[in-house]
Amino acid sequence: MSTSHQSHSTDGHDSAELHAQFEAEIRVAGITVSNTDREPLFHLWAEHRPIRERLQAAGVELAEEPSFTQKPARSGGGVS
Amino acid sequence: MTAGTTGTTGRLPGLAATAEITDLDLKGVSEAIQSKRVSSVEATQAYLARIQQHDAVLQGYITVTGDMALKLARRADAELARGESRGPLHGVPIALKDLIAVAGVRMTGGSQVFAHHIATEDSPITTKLVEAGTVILGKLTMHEFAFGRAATDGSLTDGPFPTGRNPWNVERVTGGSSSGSGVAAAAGLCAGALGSDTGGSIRGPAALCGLVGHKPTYGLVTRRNVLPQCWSLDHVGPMTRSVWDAAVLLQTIAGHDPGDASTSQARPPSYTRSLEDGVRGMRLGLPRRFYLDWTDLHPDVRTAALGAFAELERQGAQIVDVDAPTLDDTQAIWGAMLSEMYEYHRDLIREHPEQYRTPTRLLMLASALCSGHDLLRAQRLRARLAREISEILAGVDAIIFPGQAEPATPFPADPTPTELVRAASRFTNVWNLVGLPACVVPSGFSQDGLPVSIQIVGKPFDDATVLRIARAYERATPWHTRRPDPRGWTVGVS
Repeated sequence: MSTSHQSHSTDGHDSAELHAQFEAEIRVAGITVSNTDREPLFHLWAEHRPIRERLQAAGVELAEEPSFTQKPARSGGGVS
Repeated sequence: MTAGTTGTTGRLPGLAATAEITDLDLKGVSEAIQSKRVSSVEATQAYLARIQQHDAVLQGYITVTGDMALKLARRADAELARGESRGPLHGVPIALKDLIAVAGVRMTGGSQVFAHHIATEDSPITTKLVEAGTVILGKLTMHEFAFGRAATDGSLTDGPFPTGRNPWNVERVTGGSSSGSGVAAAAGLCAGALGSDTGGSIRGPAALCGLVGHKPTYGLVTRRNVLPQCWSLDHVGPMTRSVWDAAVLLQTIAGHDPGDASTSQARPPSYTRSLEDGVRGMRLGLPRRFYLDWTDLHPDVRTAALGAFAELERQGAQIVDVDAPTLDDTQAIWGAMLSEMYEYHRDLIREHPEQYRTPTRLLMLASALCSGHDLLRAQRLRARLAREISEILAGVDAIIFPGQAEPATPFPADPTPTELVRAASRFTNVWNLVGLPACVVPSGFSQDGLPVSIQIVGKPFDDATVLRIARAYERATPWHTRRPDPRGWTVGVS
């Protein structure tokens, strides 16, 4: 892994902290990432992180069900 | 008329002196064949000759099925000679994105991973098209697995899986992922094409190549034996030079498939019956804040869209502003749903990572990092978005807005992905999330001569109204009659 990001901060997060989170997520996902892919994948992951945070920050009511129980385009669609 | 009279020009003695069959829209080709001004074999040969002449530059085809096409064309001509017609697609040469299976024909998904994969059975889509009398010219280029980036850099070194050049300017992208479908339909390398759309992959290239592109309602067209990207977002639909063309292709491929549980059992209505009924009295919703006021919207796209909306008002439609708060979350929702893509590819990418293009592999791996918690949150917000859009559609007949953020851009110097969710997809991926019918139709040209479009979204399974609105605009404007100039189809000589 490149060390060029170790001393920078991104969105208020220390880069080392971000890299540690990234590596943890790779382990949880159980994916194999080559050395060549690791740094560009980190950049993609870091770029997408604010979008994921927005997702989790969105207020959702208790009664709101996921779309696989409330199928989009359901009028006349799906298995009848 | 006998086969082989067209030479390489495609100019046909049964047509007007200056006309070439490949300049016509699908309707024109259909009428020429039905009236026997042109045989299906002649039309097929004209397209094959044009492919031979131009596809090295345009890169619309991965596989050309010339022998199969001529066999189907001869069948069509023999039937017509007996007075038998299968309908408006009888003998009409079309082409398919290379993720729709044709038995016995290579199906690559635009990837080295499936470079040697031969489909063993047709998609029901292919079966329906052949039963309707179409001639399958071949399989069209695409962005790798319907998600990778444009492969070409403007040179001729794209390898076995190029992604195509824009016929309006070969130094510009076609959009994707149905890039070859956009190239082939716009350049007259087929009379019409099918693409697929998971976040805009029909509508994007259709908009950038000056075509009509229709993403049907989710559940209207089967996805069986179509390589998936994301099961809950994938749609197959037509990309054509006119709205009628799209309506006829949609009519042919729509309908229940017992092999695809997501398809509706309802019988599709006629998509051509009300096509000329106009928009008088319709209410059309315009999401002004989210689309027209978006600061990154290209000014030429905005200007053309405002002109198009004014035309629809002139024809008697009423346009009202509409909005949905969850539109602002759609990029996040769609991004999480891309984990479906990794789920399909997880074994393949583990076993053959080197066979994916680097940008595709990176995007796949990034989509694997979506947590279960992210995905469930996205699903709940997706359902909310569907409710909000449904409430809007309770008060209007359709929703209208620009087709894309900007005209076709130059090829990126660095194809490495710099973002997981592209900003431009805000114009398209919303409508994959909610599964509604969405159609782009040309609305003019940018100052540098590139096509721009508007988009129309309708109620679930009301694809007919969407196409009717598109046709009302189309018939009042000349954009769909313009063709890119083949003299510009050269590269690598500068």
